[in-house]
Amino acid sequence: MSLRGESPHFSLPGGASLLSATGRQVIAFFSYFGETTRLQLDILVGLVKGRLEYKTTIAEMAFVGVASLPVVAVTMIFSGMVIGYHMAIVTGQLGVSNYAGRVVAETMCRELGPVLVSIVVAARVGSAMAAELGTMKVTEQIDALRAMATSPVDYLALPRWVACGLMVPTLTFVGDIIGVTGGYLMAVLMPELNAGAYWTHIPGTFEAYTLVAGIGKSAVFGIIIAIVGCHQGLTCKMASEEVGRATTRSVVYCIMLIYGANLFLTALIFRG
Amino acid sequence: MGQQREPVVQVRDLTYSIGGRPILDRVSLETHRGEVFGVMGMSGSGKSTLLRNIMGLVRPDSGDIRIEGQSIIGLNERELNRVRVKMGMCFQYSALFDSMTVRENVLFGLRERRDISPSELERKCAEHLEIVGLAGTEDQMPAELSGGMRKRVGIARALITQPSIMLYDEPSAGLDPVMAAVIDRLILRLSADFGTTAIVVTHEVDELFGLADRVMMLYEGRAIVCDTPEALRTSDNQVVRQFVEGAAEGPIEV
Repeated sequence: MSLRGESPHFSLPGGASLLSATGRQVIAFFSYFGETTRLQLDILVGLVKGRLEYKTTIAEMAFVGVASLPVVAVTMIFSGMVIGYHMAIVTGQLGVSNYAGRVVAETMCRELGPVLVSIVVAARVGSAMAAELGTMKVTEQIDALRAMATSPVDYLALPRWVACGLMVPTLTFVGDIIGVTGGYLMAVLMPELNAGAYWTHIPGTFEAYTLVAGIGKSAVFGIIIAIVGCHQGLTCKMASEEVGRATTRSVVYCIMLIYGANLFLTALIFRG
Repeated sequence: MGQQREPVVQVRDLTYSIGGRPILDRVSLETHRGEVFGVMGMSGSGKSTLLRNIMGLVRPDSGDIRIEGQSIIGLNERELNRVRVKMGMCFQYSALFDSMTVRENVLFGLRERRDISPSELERKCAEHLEIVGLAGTEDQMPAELSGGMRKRVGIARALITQPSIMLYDEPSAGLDPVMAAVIDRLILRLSADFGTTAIVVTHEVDELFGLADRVMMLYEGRAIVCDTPEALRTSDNQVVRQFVEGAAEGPIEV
């Protein structure tokens, strides 16, 4: 059996060879990377040149920040309680239960706060951005903007970028506090923990740098959410089912990029 | 008369394709100040795509497009915006911003004009809605309007910046005959009173012949004829004749 063309083992459905399919994926990856980088640069140019529409930005900040607060609060209080529960057992076994509060605070501020809040915002806001902008694209509203000499990047993407860049860190800060408080609630409920000692080591040995670094990470995650959500919406194909696909892709890409960026930033920010 | 012959929109050998499939094939046209120029053709013949090329919403494969003498080929988006302020476009499906009220839609093109007072903006909005027969709908959302009303809001939105060139994509589609006649009269009045150049795309032959100074027919992406409505009515071209007469039998492949 010849390997040239006839072998089904080296072909994908539709006749595409494995090599060409891989090649298309590689090209698609670099194309996506290039397009999102270009979008990021265009947004920065718009920001520097003062093209930010404040009214739209404030509305977006309310949508990203205020409207996300309930789901962030629920996520973080339960996460804090679960971590508090585990820490009660582990620190109790090690005989350092007085440090449970410190461990919960470190866990929250370093990792869980930034990552969980960003995932929640990606699911709620990133998907909404892709759906809204995608619908605008399909119904020619993006073209109408351009026809009226208005840049869709300046008018639609820039306010969302600023809103995510400011409100995701703010939500993370609030989420950290709620999470640590959730841990304290467990300390009150569980006999293994000394509720009175829960806060003892948090202001003492917990460094402000940890809190600020975690919030800094979340600012990057917020920007990732805005870029991915806006890019998916603005490049949506002209069919209504494509809006659904763009929305799904936005959430999946956001989550993957947040995890990847978190690893990179953690290694960069927290050394020793 | 000299002003009448001033070229406003010039298209030369415009070729545009999507995924290798030709949509427009070496299309050329020239419109003049105050002229109403019609483009007719079957659905899918490239009429709307021609307007999108002229507005710079898509980039042609080859050819040249000049707006008031300036070529838009090779311009970046920001340079294109400086040309687009001379033009207004009425979209086939209105393309209203569905998260905004009718007032916000109509005034969108003026939102950065700090020299116009809020009361003046309100007056302009009311005036333009009155023109299209929609007075008092300022606070309604697009979802609350019928298709024809949305179309008219789209026309009011395009007109409010007083562009010197108007592009109408199927302006009377979805409108009742009375309102379609009102819109046609509005197009003619803008051309006569303000010298606005209009390019009207439609497959409604009778409407276009009553409206346009000259009409071009697109067939399979090519401009097969461009002449006055009177000349087209008596054209020897079999494709034109079949289209104008609305005959089922003829050279047009369906």
